[in-house]
Amino acid sequence: MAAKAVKAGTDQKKIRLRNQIIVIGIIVVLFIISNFFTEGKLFRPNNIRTILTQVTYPLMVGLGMMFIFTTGMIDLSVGAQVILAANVGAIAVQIYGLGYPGLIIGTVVTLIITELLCTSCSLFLKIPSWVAGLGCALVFEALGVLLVGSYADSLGTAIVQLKECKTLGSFPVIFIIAVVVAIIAYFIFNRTRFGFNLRAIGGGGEVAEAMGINRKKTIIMAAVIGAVIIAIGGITQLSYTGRFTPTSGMGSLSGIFKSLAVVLIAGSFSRIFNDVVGCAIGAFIVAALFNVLTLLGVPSGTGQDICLGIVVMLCGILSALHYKGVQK
Amino acid sequence: MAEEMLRIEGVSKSFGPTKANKDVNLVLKKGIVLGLAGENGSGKSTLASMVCGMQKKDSGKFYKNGVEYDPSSPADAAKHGIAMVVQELGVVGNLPGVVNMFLGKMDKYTKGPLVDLKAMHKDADAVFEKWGLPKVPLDVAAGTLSIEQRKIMELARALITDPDFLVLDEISQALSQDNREVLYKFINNFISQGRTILMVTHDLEEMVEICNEIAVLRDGVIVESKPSKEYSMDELKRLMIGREVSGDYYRDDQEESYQKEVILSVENLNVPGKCENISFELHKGEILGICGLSDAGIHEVGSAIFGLEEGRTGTITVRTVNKVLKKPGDIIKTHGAYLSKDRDANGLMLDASIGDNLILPSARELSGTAAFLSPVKSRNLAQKASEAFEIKSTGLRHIVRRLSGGNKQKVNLSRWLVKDLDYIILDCPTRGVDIGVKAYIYSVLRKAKAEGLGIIMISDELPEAMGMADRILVMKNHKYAAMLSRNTDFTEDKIMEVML
Amino acid sequence: MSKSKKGSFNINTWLPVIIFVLVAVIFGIATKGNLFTSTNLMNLFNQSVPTIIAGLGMLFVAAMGSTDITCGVIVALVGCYGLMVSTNVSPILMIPVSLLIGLASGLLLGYINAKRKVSSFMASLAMLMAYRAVVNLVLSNTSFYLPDSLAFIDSLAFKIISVIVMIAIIVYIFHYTRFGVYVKDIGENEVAVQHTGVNVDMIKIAAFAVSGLMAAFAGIYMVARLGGTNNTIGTGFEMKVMMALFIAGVPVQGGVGSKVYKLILGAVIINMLENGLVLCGTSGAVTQLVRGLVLLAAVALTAYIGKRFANVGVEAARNQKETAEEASK
Repeated sequence: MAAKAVKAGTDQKKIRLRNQIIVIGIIVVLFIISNFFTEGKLFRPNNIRTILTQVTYPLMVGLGMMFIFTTGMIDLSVGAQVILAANVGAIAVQIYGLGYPGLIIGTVVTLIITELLCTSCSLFLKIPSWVAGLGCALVFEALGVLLVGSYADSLGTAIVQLKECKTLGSFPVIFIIAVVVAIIAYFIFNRTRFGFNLRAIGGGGEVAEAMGINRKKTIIMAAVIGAVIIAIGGITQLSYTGRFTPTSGMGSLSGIFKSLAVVLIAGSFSRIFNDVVGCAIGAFIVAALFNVLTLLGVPSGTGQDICLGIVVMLCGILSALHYKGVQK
Repeated sequence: MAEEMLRIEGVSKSFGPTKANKDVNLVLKKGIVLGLAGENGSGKSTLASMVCGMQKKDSGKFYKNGVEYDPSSPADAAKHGIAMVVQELGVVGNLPGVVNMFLGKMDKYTKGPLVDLKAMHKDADAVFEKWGLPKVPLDVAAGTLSIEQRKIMELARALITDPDFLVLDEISQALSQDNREVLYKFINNFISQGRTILMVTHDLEEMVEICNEIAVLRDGVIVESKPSKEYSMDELKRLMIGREVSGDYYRDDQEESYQKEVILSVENLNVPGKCENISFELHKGEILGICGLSDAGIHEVGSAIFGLEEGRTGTITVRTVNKVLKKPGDIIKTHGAYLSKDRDANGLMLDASIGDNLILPSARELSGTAAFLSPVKSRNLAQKASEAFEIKSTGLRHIVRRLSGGNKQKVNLSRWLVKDLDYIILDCPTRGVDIGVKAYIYSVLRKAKAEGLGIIMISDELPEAMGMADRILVMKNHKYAAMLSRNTDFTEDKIMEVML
Repeated sequence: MSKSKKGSFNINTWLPVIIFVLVAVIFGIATKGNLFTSTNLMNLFNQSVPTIIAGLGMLFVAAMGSTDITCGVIVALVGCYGLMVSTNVSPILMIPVSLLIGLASGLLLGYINAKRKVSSFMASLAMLMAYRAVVNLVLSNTSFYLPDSLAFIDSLAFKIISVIVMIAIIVYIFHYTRFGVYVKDIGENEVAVQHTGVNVDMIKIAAFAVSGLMAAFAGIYMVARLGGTNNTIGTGFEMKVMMALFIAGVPVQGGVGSKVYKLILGAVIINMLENGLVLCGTSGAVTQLVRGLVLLAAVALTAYIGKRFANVGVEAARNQKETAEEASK
């Protein structure tokens, strides 16, 4: 009996490994086919460099969102938060000349504060997390517009352009940062006490609380760690593109759509891959998909966004495939 | 006389109007296994969960090793050397077994920022080794393990804190025969070191065999507590039930009485892993009891007939209209109804008014021309239902959540019985209601039976089934075990014999 | 039951009215009475119509505790494809095409939520994204104008009559039919409704369809008001409608507390708020900031009140006494 049970365990691991190989195989084949369709442009060194750069932002924001979502908080104000925080960082550099420390501390601290505000709304005021997210998104977007408006380079251009401190956004630094962040996230998620507590809260809140885990403390910790990861994503993206244009009327949502797709892909792979690995694979799929679309001449803003919407929807359907309960 | 380990003094606990435990006094000595015996709802699980900090007691005191002990949570109980394997405290399915075992107690294994998984594995293996438990794969997600493996893992988790007092609630039910042997060996080993076990089990033979002492609970009160050798099986059963089966509020006739006409026929009902090959016929004016132990699959028969179980096979025909049931809606269309065991989750809208709840099942019949749902007609129907069933409230606008369990059940039942039904499936219709409402529900069922309603009464309370049913279908391990008749077979012994 | 009993005061019933009066008084004073000039009242009416119409549909979804944030982008689709058809084919086709778009979108969302079990919020968010791009496909380099033959839609008389008719129909469906009862009961306890043999999935799909259809109606009014369309039409509209619902105490988790009158008051309140802010000369960003704060405050307040004062007054006192008596038995 005992020997059989242990064997069942190793069998399970074998099946998982087989599925992992299959999925990765399918992805590789898809890449090769896409390469064929793009007449070999996909695998050109220059283009691979582009993909590796473009993968960083959805990956890091997706990882951060995953930490927050795991607690059950579906917070979509992240997009507005990252715009606000990145602009605080840019202002610290450009207006106050604080250099790298200003950029990093400004962005990270702002994001931690905004994320904690949003989490508190739903944790303490009992507002459903998605409504809290929408309300906070409106507030943070408005703050972003007001802030940037008062510091903008010149009248008429409502942006703060980052002209210095751009090393973090150059290749290969940006990719190395993303890899390091992903590895650290992997260890936090899978090898630390906090990571286990977090997943326990997400997987079965009542059991976890009965085992002596403090739910509120764990959720707040997750918000802080998620915020830091998202902030790093924001800093590198700011350094790469040079600016974060403030949006209004919930326009910030579209900025995190790729990351949302990444999280949903990780969710639908959760039986096969560890969530952090799933995020990384999801980010590569998303980045490659949009790269291929660009190479094929599909315009962004229209064709690409339609694809993004469909991808998010399909990922949602995939991750809910075995779900039997009530879905509001 | 051995030293005492845990003393329970005057402990009471009530849920709303129901008193689960009343002034319980009990002493557990070191080095013994004490079994808690009692019917479902007698308060034994409540007592066990208060000892391990899952629930707060209302009054009374616990003393552990002579020191007062008032656990705020299971984690707190663990600090006092009390651990548990209870049904409410399962595993976190998405985490590996080893992490589940050390959840909330990882301080020891934190090296720098990381948790030392290897050390955890080593200590976990040591626990399995020390107590001779069968190995369970600990590095895969706990949710993918079998129920048996999970139970063993939960036992190992409880033992990690090296407790001297262990609460085991219905652990052997999930185990196969060879693992039960392992469990019994473990229990002997555990108590031989001067530790104590509080055990709750439905299996009376097991209890007499394993436990040194047995305390019998009835209606929340300890009615007897003495060494298990001094009980005879009959005495134990009598103490548990405590009253003559043909009590005041049950039927007083002792014979089957139903009409020939078949209303519902179930043939080869199968739900993978839940019930196998169940066939029976329900007659007009019959109360058909379905009984079995908690996990025998009796509740699943009800939800499978309604159409909620995945992978159901077999034919269920409503003879009155010659229709085969396929989807959940069909049972309603054939003048049937199904009331789930979990009244609050599956039946009532707790935050809506009594009126809203009463109307819901009849909305189809109430709508007239242009789909008009007349407020006057609705109110009249609700009024009728609430008056006919004497629902105690301030009116139809009263929020259901604020009603007592008994009145909630009246709302739940009345809204169906005001309809023109041919048959009804009731899953534990008197669960969590007080004795007065219980008697009232039985009188209503007797009346409905006289009017020709076919009633399937799924029940985990044997006296209730014996008191009310014409025939009882007994299930064991998801399978049909016997069909007993009121005429000859309704004795506690006979049913127990088939059930266990 | 819906009829109010004599002598009972229910804060949930009166909260929208209180907020309404409060906002009216505050902005009446802040704008030195400019809020209530006849021109501005007319403005307020014109702004409120689309919010009310789209809200009437969203109410069905909100009552189930679900979410549909596609109404803003359905407005844009209507503006784009409805007008494209009316310009290129025949003006009269504008209305049926628009309604078909709304209906189809609602059915799709309903299917994905009810049958494929994707959270309605996520699903409608993805649809919002994709639809916006579909609008941009056409409108990024062209714009359309309303044909003269359809200008009657914006006339006051037509608007008043059609809006009253639509409110009447929705009140009937929502409060006096089985469908309306089921929708609210799904918000209370979906499983309980399922146990009474109702095909919950179909009800859900139908509710989303109503929501999509009403969003299309709202789009027609908005396009008629603007006299044409551009690619930013309807942005942020979904938030406005959602706030109209929540600000007047329609519970976020749905249920029998959802009422048509709450939505209508809420729609006027939110438009009065925005209108008042504009009259006070605040910038767009500040208006949005206030909107966000108001949304959070309104939902938090409704949740708080729902818990604390569910039944204020005589009835509550009686309830409590009764419960205490039962407990002591």
